[in-house]
Amino acid sequence: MGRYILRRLVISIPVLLLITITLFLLIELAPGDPISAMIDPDQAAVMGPDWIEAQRRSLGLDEPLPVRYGIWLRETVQGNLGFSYLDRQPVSQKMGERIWPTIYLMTAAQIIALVIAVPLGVLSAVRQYSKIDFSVTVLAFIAVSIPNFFLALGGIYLLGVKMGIVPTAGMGTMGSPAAMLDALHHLLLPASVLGFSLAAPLIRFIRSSMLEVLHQDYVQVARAKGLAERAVVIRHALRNSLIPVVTVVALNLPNLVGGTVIVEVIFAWPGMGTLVLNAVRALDYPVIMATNLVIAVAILLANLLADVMYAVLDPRIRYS
Amino acid sequence: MEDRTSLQQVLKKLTDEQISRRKLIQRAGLFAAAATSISTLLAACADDDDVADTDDDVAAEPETDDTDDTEVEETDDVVEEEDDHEEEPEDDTEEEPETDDAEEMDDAEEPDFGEGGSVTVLWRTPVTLNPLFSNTGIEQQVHRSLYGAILKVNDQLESEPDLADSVDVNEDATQYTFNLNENIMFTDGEQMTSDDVRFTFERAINPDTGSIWRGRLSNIEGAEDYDGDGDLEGIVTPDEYTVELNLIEPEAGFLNNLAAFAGFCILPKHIWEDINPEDMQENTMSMNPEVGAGPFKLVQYQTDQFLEMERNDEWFREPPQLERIYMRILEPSVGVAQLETGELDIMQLPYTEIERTEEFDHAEVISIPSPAINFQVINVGRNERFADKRVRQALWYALDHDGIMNAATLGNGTRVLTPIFGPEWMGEPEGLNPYDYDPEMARELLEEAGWDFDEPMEAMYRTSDTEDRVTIITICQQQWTEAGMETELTLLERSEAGDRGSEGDFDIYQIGGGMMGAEPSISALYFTSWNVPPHGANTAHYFNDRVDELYQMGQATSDLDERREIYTELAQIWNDEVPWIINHSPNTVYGVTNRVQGFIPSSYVDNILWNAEEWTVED
Repeated sequence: MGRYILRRLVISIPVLLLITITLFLLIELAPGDPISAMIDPDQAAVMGPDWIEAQRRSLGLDEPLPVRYGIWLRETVQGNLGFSYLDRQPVSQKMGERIWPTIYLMTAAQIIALVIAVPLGVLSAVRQYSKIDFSVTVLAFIAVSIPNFFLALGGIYLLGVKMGIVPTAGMGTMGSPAAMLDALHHLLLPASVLGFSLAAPLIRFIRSSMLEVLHQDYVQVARAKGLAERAVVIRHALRNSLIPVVTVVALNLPNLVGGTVIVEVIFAWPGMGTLVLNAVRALDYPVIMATNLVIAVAILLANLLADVMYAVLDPRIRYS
Repeated sequence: MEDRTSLQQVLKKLTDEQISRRKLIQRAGLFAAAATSISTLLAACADDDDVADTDDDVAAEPETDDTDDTEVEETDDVVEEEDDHEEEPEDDTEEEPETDDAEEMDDAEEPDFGEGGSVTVLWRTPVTLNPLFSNTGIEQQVHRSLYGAILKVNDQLESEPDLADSVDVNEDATQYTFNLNENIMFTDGEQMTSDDVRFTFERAINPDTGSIWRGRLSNIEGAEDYDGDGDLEGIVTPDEYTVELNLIEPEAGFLNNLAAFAGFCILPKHIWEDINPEDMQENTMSMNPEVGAGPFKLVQYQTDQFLEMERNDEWFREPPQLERIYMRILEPSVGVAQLETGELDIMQLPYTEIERTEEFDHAEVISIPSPAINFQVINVGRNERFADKRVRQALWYALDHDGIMNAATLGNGTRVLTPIFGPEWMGEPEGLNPYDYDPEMARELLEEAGWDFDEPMEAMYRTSDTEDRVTIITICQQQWTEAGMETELTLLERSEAGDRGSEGDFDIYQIGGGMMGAEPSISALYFTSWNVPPHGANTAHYFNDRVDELYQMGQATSDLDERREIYTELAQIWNDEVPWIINHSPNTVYGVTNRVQGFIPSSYVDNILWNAEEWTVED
């Protein structure tokens, strides 16, 4: 197993390299350059071509593409992610500030999703074709179909403005010192919105996985032994049906660092999504590269984790 | 730390196959629960940005351990247990706040703001808090509040005393003498003198700094060649409180140039002089200014969330009555929701939110004319088809301007016929053709000019265009096509459109914005021969010797009557030659809660704070 993990990690290195090269090229292909994205054309005109040239030079944009990539790679390998073009602040500091709010939000959302999805998925599988099954399926369908931003704005309007039970945005109350309850209170709505939409596909997944297991022979055997239905479902069926679910959840992990642009922006949540959005708008290469690199690493690790988990949970699977 | 070791143990046992799958699931659930409580704690405790501290926080927090213990004891039913684990943090996030709601909300609604109360204003994520590097008014208004500007801009876009008590201008507008207030103290107790002013100007002009002000200040004597060595010759400081700026060319609009968008802020020399010009932007003080001389002081900037300022009690004028100002970073749609709940006090309203906001009892909508215009640039100089002015006039006649204005701004706009329409001393020039909607006339003019009705023209607009501008160009397309000028729309990314504009590779180019109503000389950037790209913004590539001459004459005198006469003639020529189609000047619209007193709406949208030191609140 250890050897397998090691091999996977080694394979990840060329994959990462390929990803960064592709990214670098993609950003380069995007129309415009950081200077013109940063500053209004009229103002650029006032500054004059010399100023613009000087700015390009000071950002190192006058170097040819392969040289720039080489410099970026060399520095990144040494742990230096560079400076943001926009405000010249270190990228690692910018990410450091924003990654925790995102992890905090996404973890809560993932948990809410599981809490909604597991019981509903099981219930609708156990009572297949019943009214409950039908309602859950429709609910999941609705949850998949409603865009996040709509749910977010609707939630803000109903729960925040009309009923006043949750704050409308932000991570804490301005002017009062940071407090745990206040932070949780602010987390409630954005995490629920995200959790609701994450739950929808999970419900469907758990339902079908559960259905499959329920038709297995060993479940019949358990029933034949005279076990109570509850014990059959929970002890024998659910545990096995959750094995593939664990991998699905593991594959969701990159979201923990990647964040979600729309929900973060709407709720003024100072996370990675907001950072990525602003960086893309400003063609802030170093920030785009660094955030994507982090997300790419997270995806690779999550994939590995999912595969390993699978083997651990299901003794029939062996990697060699 | 606890959790980390337990995880390591689990992994070790796992690899040694000493652990059953049942146990693993159990532990995994546990770990998830612990991880959540940790991140929850982190977020709550992470008052500061120091992530390294978090380990301590976790270790010191007994709650984490508690969760562990209680959970480990129940080992009967693995699967149900797992459910428990997953519900556990859920309880934390959902139920606890609700039970403590009453208490919590009280906290939220009545924080202790001291005597003066606080006002919350809608804002946007700032790029910098260093005035030398900001190119947007929305940031500069905050810089002005923190640093103080040599002059500030009032609601009518005239410059007003701030750090300087008065300014003397010589007759031909080549020398400006600023008389600094003699009692200005920086927030660290140092006195501000003419030395600080000189220092700031020199840093702004020094090319190593990379300040956006260099271009605007290039008319100061010696600025072009200044490289940071020694004194800049155009700045004379005869005593501690007097600063003389000497200009190469006369520039009657210089004060306006200096005050846009919110004012030229003065940095404390004793704080910044040891920092190299090229290192200024990346210095931490550029995001966290500690010393200034403005009416407010920075308390904190919470990344992407809000900025908090408090009253500077030592301010050299009468200190503000407000205790605090919060600049809140939100999407406008959420801003309106917060305006409704009273969490937000002042915001610029999108036109589409006006109707809803008018229904709020505790807030009002203020709609006032602005110095901006919505317009389309016509490629006059680089495109044969538009060389004949009759074609350009036809483009204007073909548009129903009132209809467009109503569709785009819901009636919140003013017809404007030239880029010269303010400020108050200038007013709207006389003798202009209103170009009232007349498609017949448009067709006649086109026929006279020999327009090729079979060849479509292209109108480009940008992905960065606001909703109202997209509405405008869409209606223009329809109405030009109706008048016989078939139009195709092209949507481009901003910098690509900018490049095509500079190169003169377009037919029609929709832009908008600007501050042209603030000062007639501002429009010189768009219509004079020396401002052809890349040295200016004359994207129409419009050349007219008389126009060049008039713009120069307008700068060469500080006598307002004379200037009005010059710019009136200019406006008449412009209105006849039509290098641009001007749709209208869109209003600036604010939503303001009634508790804010003394707020004077600025016609320029991004200068809300211009008189924040005079605000009070009534609760």
